[in-house]
Amino acid sequence: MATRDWLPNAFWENYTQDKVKCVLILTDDDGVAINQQLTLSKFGLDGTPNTDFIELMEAVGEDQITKNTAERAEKKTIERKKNEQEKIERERAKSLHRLFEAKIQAFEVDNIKNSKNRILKSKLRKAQNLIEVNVYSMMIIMEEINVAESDTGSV
Amino acid sequence: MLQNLTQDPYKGYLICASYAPNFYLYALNLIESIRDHDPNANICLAVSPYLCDGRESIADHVIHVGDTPREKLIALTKTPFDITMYIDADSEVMHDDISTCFDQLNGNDIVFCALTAEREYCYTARSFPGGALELCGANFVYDNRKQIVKDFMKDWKDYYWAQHYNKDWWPTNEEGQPDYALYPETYRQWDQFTLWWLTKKVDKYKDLKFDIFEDDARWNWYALYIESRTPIKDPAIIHHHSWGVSKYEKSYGNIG
Repeated sequence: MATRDWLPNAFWENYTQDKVKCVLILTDDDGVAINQQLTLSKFGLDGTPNTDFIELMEAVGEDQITKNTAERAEKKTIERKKNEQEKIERERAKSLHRLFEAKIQAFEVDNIKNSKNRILKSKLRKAQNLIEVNVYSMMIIMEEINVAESDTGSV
Repeated sequence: MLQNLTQDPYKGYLICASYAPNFYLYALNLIESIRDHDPNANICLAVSPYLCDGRESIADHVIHVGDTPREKLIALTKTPFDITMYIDADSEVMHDDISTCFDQLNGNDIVFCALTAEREYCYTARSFPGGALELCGANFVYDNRKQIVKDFMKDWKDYYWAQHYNKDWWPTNEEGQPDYALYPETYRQWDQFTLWWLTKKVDKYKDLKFDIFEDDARWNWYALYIESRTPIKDPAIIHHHSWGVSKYEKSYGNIG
């Protein structure tokens, strides 16, 4: 015998609670089932009550649908916050990678490569952001230039 | 074979830079970062000769290796140390605790970091129908005084060369054919798969004593970890995992 079953996970699509999302399982005489995801309005376009909507309310109940809606909203909020947090963290991870590559590039600059100043080079290696990379790079380069100038006697 | 495990072992760090010039630069940076935190460190650099520009001399030992991306497996067999901490070149040491890495061996033959399901989101590969990679070959300590460890390192290299470069070894099915249903062919490229096979399937190594670093994420902190999924715990080694970035970008957008 053919049946129509409403899944109990229906939820309101709007705050006025006259539109609902739901799943209807239609089973034919041979026992073959089809799932249909539906959005049902309380009233048809001509203003008459929607019989499917009425059937759903009788099968699942308004209270259950309201409860499902609240639970779904809470779950979505948690998911959204988690996604936002992960987006920030992914950006941090990407920044870390950019910082690493910037340091590697800095150490390839001749004046930095040839510098014997272990303390400043260590600070450059431990730089926490691109500004620190630039500052310590500049300090090392300036020192190397000064050493070179004093070696050649120039001012 | 008589093995002298009583005298003070010679301990040191092994780093390998081969194939790509950027790995030579990463390796130099890693060596300096080790010295920042462990000034008395003994360091061996295994390097493709054509990458060298003189700066390799900052290492205490320099070993020349070939030009494939997996020369690390050859370097592991040539370590000059009794106890070796191998670190992937695209890493940086971040903490003075690095000098305690050798203590983590704690009587074992090898101590690895783990590949876990929780951290799979930033791995290139881990699970396959025949199992899941559990040990990470990126940073680990091994006791090369033991014959079983020497044999293991040699087999790691030999099996990997056979599986990937020569393509004359792969696990077989009942018909004697490569079993790509259980062990997908895409895993041929991974020496981590070889590591998994040797530790899980080869009888000779059933007595190999291996363990996982305490707080292992600290010892191989992927720069791609997301803090809310993998809480940060004062990393000792940060791993920039340059070749894994592509997967990360594929999932989350370009680094640019």
